[in-house]
Amino acid sequence: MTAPPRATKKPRGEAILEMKNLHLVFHTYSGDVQALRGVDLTIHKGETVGLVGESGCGKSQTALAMLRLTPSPPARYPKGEVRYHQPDENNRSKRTWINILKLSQHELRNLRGNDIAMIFQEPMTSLNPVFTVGNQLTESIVTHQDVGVKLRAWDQFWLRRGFVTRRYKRAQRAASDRGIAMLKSIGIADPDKVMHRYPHELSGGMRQRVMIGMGLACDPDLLIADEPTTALDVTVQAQIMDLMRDLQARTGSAILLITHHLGVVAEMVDRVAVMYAGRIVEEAPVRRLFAEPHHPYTLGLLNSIPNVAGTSDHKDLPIIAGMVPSMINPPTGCSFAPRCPFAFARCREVDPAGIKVGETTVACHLWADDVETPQALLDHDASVFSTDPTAPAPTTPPPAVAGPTARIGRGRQRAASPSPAGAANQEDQA
Amino acid sequence: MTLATPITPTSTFYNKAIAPRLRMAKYAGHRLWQSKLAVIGLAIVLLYLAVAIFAPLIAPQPARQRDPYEMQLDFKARKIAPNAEHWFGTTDTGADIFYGVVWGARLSMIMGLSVTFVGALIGVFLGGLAGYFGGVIDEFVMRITDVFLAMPLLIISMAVAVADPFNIAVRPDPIWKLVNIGVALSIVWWPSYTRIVRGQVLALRENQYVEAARSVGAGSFRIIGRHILPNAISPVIVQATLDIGTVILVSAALSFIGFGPSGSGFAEWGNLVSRGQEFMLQAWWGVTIPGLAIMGFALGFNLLGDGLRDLLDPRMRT
Amino acid sequence: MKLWQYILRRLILLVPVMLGITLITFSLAWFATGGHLENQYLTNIDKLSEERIQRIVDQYGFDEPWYVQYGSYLKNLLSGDWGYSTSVNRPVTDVLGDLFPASIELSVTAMIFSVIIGIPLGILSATHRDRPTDHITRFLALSGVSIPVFWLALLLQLYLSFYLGKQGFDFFPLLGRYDPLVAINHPSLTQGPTGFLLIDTLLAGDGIAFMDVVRHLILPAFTLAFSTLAIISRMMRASMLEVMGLDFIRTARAKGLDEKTVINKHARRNALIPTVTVIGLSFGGLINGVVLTETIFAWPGLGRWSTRAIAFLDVAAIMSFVVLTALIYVLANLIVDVLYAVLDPRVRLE
Repeated sequence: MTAPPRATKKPRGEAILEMKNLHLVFHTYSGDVQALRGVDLTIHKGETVGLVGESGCGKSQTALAMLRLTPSPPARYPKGEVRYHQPDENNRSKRTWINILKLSQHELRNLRGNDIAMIFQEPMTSLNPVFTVGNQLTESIVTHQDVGVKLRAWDQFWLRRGFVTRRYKRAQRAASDRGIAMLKSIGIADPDKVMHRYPHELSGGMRQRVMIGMGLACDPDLLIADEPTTALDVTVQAQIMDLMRDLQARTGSAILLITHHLGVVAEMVDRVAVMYAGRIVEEAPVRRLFAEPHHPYTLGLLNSIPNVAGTSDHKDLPIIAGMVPSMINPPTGCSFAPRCPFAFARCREVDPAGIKVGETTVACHLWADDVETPQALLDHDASVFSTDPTAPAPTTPPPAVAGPTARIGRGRQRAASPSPAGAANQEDQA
Repeated sequence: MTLATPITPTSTFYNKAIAPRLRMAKYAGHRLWQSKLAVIGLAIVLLYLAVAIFAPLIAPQPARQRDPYEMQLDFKARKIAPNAEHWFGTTDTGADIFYGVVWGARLSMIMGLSVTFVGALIGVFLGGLAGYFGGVIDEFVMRITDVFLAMPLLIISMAVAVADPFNIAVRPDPIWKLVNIGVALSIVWWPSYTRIVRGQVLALRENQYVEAARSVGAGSFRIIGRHILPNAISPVIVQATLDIGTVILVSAALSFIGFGPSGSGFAEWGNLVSRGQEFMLQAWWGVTIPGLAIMGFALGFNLLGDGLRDLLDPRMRT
Repeated sequence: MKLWQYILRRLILLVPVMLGITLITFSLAWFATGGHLENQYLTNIDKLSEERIQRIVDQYGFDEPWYVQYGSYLKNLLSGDWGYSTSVNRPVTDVLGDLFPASIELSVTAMIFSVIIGIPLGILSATHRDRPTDHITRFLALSGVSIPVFWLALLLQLYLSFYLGKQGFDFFPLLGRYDPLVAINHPSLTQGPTGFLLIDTLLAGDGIAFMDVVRHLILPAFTLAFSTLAIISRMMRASMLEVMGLDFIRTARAKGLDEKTVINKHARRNALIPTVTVIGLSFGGLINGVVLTETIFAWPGLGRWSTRAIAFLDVAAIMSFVVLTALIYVLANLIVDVLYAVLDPRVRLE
């Protein structure tokens, strides 16, 4: 099944979640791990945002931070906030801004599964093996929605001790209709039978559908999907992706899709954010990101997708030389600098802030006002990335940095030759 | 390297093959040191071991005593509370409890080590056989194991001790009754090892390196001995360490019930408690102190075994 | 397969195991009597004449080859003749009927106590990991598995019953199942219908007798329960720690469930699965403990009978005791395995 062509651009809705400068630190025996180092991400109503990056870059942690699911003693959020425009319980169109990091446990529970839901990577282990699908699905519904059976403190008291009262069971039965309807809308053939099945009796694809159903059961504003298809077969992957697209069109919830699979991103999302070493390095609408990558990392990433029928005649698989830096003592300056073919002195000293270049936001000094962006980057030419993993750090000539008097444009136009003032101000290279 | 150059045994490859084991052992030792409880356990075990080995120095045998373990009656020193002269007090027959505890440590250490050793030996052998060859042998061995495991340890060892198939206990010297307990325990202690080893062997024999060994012509016993058993051995070591403590608890219980040497002053912990029970209401030290010795012994081995288990459990290896 | 098929299969497997056990007990009796099983009954051997002995041997078949004798032993077992207990001068089946309720009452009380205290303690230990509560619990658990049962019984007797009694606090009686002085006026203690004194006294509505029974039950039950409690709480702690790190716990939290619900509803069920197996295995330890505890507290049960039987070389009693305890242990583990299948739906597919 192919993706529907995106001829028209959807108008962007209002922002519902704003993550600003979020820092996350884990205290471990080997030291403090800086998992997130200033993440800025905004999600709007009804849009699909993709969060890509390699393993360990912090994308899962970003998502978990939105629900504060990271256990707090080892994890700390020293800086930043996650603001959510929460709709009022009774009047869905009235919304207030809250900071998720400062919520009480009670408010947090109200939020989870209800306003923001999350589904995880491994459907096999993400469902409790000793309870039926129906039990777990109706549990979601009963916790957050009114199913006609009013639960009292007595029920909650016993539930907290692990026992289910008769009234709770009645509530679950009342919720099962809704659950069955949800399963049916997900494309499960025999929803009544499936409700009585245990997770291990279902296939991987079915289990993931059940997880999606559980996530969408309470009509959340935002569904976070952490690598939902990574553990599934390719054919099932396509089905699940279609399903998610379909459901989103129907329910209007926003989706944050976390993946390392660029192909999935290209098909599904409206906007993409690329993460590297705990920061978002580039963010752009999906077409633009693929056609015009701005950050060198994105350039290298897109370049390293094996292209069987491509026009390039690379014989070796292109890679980005080097390794992700240690997050315990991240290097000063830009974390991608050690691997970047275009790195210059400033990159090693100052961590770049996000710079807006048209519709793209990129965290790279090369796009700063006073820096002459290298032609290779302007042309989105990735041949600067060597294919030899043992090659030393790249040595392209550093970009000219203009003095305070010279004015070079926003990187789009460049003088035919470097101005003498610029040449005189050239900083030393790697 | 051409064929002309001889491959000497001192080539680097050979040396590297030994070194990993040593490195692993050193690493394991380092990890063990990090667990405080395990270190305490080791300290306790070493303490008991030292007491057992140096018993004649710590509690010298009195001149008039013929047998090191049979303490003499001394009616002048009956039921003395712990004081400077008798550190742990005396029994109702005047025997020094400190002496009893020290020499009892020797007996207990021997009992614990030998029963565990014999039990583990039999169990590992049978388990390896069952796991490796499978089929009828496996079924046969597992049925017997099931039967033995179905009987509570104390009960079955009581029954074996009573039956005394080798006529050990009827010999005149009281120490033979202790040997009878030891033999009885050894006969019934092997099943848990069989289960462990069989499970390990079943898992390991499907491994690639067994195939490889067989393809170069290694015989079955060689494969079991050199490839499978060394890897299956770690849970056995953990279980054996824990078992040494358990053996003492059971053996002391048997001795307490009456299977053990029952001389009025026999230096064996279970017997001491049993005798202590008789004058317990007048002298708390007769029962409390020997029992404390037993508990300490088991505690040390339990701590050490727990530490070893945490160490060797692959999931805990972060 | 369905549950009943599973149970049936296990019951059938019981047969070879019990055969093996009877074979072992028979051979042990054979060794104990030097191959002449008649010796256990010939207590006054010098008073009997040679031909009298010979007549007994012929009559009961004590000169048959061992396998024939084993066969008749099996036949007797199955038809209800378990021999004659020379230490108490009654048929074994009579003795069992008399003493069984006392031992069961003690064991069941101890087991219930262990489970009810042990499981929550393990959960508590896991949720408060590395904090003082955890350390105390782990220390107690470690003591529980390292302490000799007979010594614990003696300590409780000495310090809680005797010494406290001397100070005037005589709540804990020293021995026995009930106070014989109380039994004079409270017949429910000796003539109750079931033999389970807790039930009998309640049925008779006799509060004083009930309290008497409870007081006598506390120390022995605690002694028995202590090591089982330790084992259960250790296992529960370990499996809770393991379960809490699994993915579905995170899913449960993401659904917006209360943390306590997550622990007690989602985690606990999973953590109970290996613990239940350990509970089954600890029945063996319980039976071991019963022998020692009953002897020390003079509890009129099967354990005390067995130690007397050993002293008297009462072969029939010892054999019956071994067979009975093995049977109980095997059945307990069967029940536990069924419970395991109930708790863990993944097992039922086997």
